[in-house]
Amino acid sequence: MAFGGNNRFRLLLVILLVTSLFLITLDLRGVNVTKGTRSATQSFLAPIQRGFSGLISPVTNFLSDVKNFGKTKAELQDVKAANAKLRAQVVVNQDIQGQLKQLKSVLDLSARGSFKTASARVIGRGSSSTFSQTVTLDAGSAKGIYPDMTVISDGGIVGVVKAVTRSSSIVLLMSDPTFKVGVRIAGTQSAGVLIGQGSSKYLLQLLDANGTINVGDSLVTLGSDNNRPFVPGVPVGKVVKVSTTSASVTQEALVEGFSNLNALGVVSVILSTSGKDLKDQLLPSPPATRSPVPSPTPSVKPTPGASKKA
Amino acid sequence: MRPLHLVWTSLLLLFTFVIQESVISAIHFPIAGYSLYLAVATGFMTLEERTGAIVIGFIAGLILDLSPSAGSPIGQWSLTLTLTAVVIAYFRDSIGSFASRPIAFMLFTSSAIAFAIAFYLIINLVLGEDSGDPFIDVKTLLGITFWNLIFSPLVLPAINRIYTWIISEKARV
Repeated sequence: MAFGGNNRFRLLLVILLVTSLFLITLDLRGVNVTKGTRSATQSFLAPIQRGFSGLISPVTNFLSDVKNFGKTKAELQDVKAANAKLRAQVVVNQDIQGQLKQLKSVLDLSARGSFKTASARVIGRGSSSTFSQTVTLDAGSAKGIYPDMTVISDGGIVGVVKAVTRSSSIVLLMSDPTFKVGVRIAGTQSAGVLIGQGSSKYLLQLLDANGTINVGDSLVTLGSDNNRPFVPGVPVGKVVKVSTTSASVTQEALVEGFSNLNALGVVSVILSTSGKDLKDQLLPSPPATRSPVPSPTPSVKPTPGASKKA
Repeated sequence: MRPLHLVWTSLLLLFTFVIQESVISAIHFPIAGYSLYLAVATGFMTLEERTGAIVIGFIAGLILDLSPSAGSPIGQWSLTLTLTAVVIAYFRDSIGSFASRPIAFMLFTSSAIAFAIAFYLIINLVLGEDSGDPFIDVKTLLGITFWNLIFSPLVLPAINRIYTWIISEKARV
């Protein structure tokens, strides 16, 4: 049978295509009805995601472990040591303990930055078929969260609030390929743009043609007007590789984020700041280097009765 | 296509959408992820006759457009899946029934998913939406197709059975 079909099929096809195009036009023109439908779906899905979040967390944790299996031996040893430590601590639920730890770290970061924050639990992840890397939080406008607010975890920036309902919000993660944030290098103060790459590594493009990037340089956010969407001074990541191509005008580098986006349990949304210039205060301090400790060797032999004299 | 048939299919798609957004999305798959929703939608489109396929494609797209994590304008997935359904119907007419050919069914739906995603990206370009790095988009396309091929032997027989039940007289009760 030749394809082409009868008139009914053609008519139906045209109607469906026109309807789709009509909906796209309405959405691109910013009609509230179309925006409201997504918001309603989010309100509907948030409690279900919250319910499933607790149920399937052992499975997701297991898969995450399998995914990260190819790490170096040293890292594995660190993980084993941390695991042994955690096992010893397990009296109450491990999941709750982990979340409390994250919450403590993120609150510590908020306090150091004098940020007013709203903490929230991650209850879901965006579908891969929608081509955007997002997470759903269990807090929304009822806690003062609105779109274009900076989201941080214990390590630093995580992303930016994209959409909000009364009890939930969606965060666009910094790993999303459409995510871009202005950053500056902590030491040289050179400004650049950090772009998501769909993984835990990010691309840094330096804006300063004469600036230089070195491996190990730490990055903090540059900030935006009225601190929306980005608050200045929030730690972003560390340069792990510098690309030196003669063809490009400015330097590029590969950056590893301070926040582990695959293990987000609790995050904080920055509601407001104190307004003071944080400079590089929030960057994690470098690991302390061990200096040799002199061991005293007794040169005088203790004699019986000496303590009595003293 | 009977109205009751359409209602059952829409309900099943809605249920799959909730499972996709609540459960499947929470699992971190290496290389992109698995889309149960696209697998079910393309599975049904493949089993349907062509008028039914485009209606299911449109409804499946409309449901996917409601996803709160979607960055695309509402209607883009409807357009994508309707056009995918047209292509599926075109090739299905040439290939014939998949009832007794499970491997052909598996390969056909996986190709249809890859086509749908590629089509989505093309429409994204046409609309001037930001799709990000093309390399990552290709990785996502290949990743979703790969995971679909892995899970197809589990999912497609179930889709086939559900479809047979929906078109049977029992679904009228």
